[in-house]
Amino acid sequence: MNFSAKRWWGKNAGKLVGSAVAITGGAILWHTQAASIWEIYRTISLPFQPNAYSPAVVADSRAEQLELELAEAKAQNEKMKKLLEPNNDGSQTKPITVAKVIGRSADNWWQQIVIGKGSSDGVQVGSIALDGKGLVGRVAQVTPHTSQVLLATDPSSRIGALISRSRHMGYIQGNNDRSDRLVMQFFDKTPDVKVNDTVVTSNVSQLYPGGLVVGKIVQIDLAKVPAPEAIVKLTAPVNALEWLQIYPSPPTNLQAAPKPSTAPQSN
Amino acid sequence: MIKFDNLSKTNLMLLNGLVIGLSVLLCALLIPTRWPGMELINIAPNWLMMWVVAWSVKRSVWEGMVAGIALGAIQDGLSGSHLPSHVFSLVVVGVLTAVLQKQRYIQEEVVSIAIITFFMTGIAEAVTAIQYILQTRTSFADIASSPIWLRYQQVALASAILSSLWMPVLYYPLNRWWEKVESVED
Repeated sequence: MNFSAKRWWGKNAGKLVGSAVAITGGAILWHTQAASIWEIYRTISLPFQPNAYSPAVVADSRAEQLELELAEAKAQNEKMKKLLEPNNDGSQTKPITVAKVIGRSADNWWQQIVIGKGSSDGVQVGSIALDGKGLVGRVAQVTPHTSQVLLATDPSSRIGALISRSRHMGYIQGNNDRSDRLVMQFFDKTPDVKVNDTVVTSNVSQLYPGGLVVGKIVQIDLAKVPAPEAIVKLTAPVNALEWLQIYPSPPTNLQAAPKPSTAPQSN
Repeated sequence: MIKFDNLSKTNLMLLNGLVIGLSVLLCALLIPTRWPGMELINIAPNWLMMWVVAWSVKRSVWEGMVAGIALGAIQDGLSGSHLPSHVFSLVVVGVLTAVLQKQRYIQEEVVSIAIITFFMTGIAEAVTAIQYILQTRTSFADIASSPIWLRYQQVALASAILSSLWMPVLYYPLNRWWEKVESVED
């Protein structure tokens, strides 16, 4: 009995130890959200990333464009913000950092990108990622030097949005079949919307600050049940992103300016 | 060239462990990488699943299962979302690949590995799709018209094509190494 147990151990010890090591290692990586692998990936891949233009150039050229596009929406937002929250002066926050895109999603079902800046650069879960041209998504996971950004095109992403021209509200959701096109559903039965209208994030969105350019309406289906629908094409080139501006998430902005207790409740 | 016969059994085991660890790390690092030829409609090969197939082809069901659990946990960590979990899909792949070989359906290595990979990708993505369907509580009648089904078709087909084409790159070096280790151990 003892002998056969010994023999069994001799034959299978390696496998058992190997299995234990494998599962423990897997569990550690699972628990740490594979931070070590992301850090190694960043170290290896960074020298090979395209470095065509510097963050300064991007910031300069795109800031101008952004300002033009947002002029209208900003003016409207200021008014609305002042009406809703007298204590909030609505000043635009500065980006924490400009980050290089270093990789794509670790799973074919999710639409994520990996950027080369992380918690040590001030990026947090919930930070907002913008391309110079428009909204890209929000940070879903951070390691010390990398972060994963969940793209607005992911089916799980839902953003409160409105038509810049008519202020008609709805939400936009990722769409699986066409990568840079999103579906916008309106709360109104007869929304005032035209092709080429600009779509911006809504002030009542909890995850995103208001007034960020998302995209343009390319197609409208007002007869759609249960709610009228439109197709929004993102202004940011989600399939060819190189540099992103990372902004702090809205809750940190709001903490600075305490809400009056009479603030309207909405989602 | 290292003389394998001169290595003690412990050293060989350690060296094999190192090869296993580094090859898994390599696969994990290849996942976010998109070199030319690694992408079809934004979908990439499923490198960790390919590793599980390469590992399980000549191993027991138990070993296939352990590899599935470990690599599934790694991929869950990498993608930052724990439901749907990759552990289920990779365990199914590991176990099925190990069972498949026992029945000796397949003899010709060159083609068979690619075919196994192709079908295992379909199965792995189906396990993910089923988890999505359960999660979103899509009723049985609505599955065919749900976005999950549409996405499943895209992901499974594109990923299966890419995975099976890239499979030899991963399988041949690993298989040769494990054959060598086995021949020394015996």
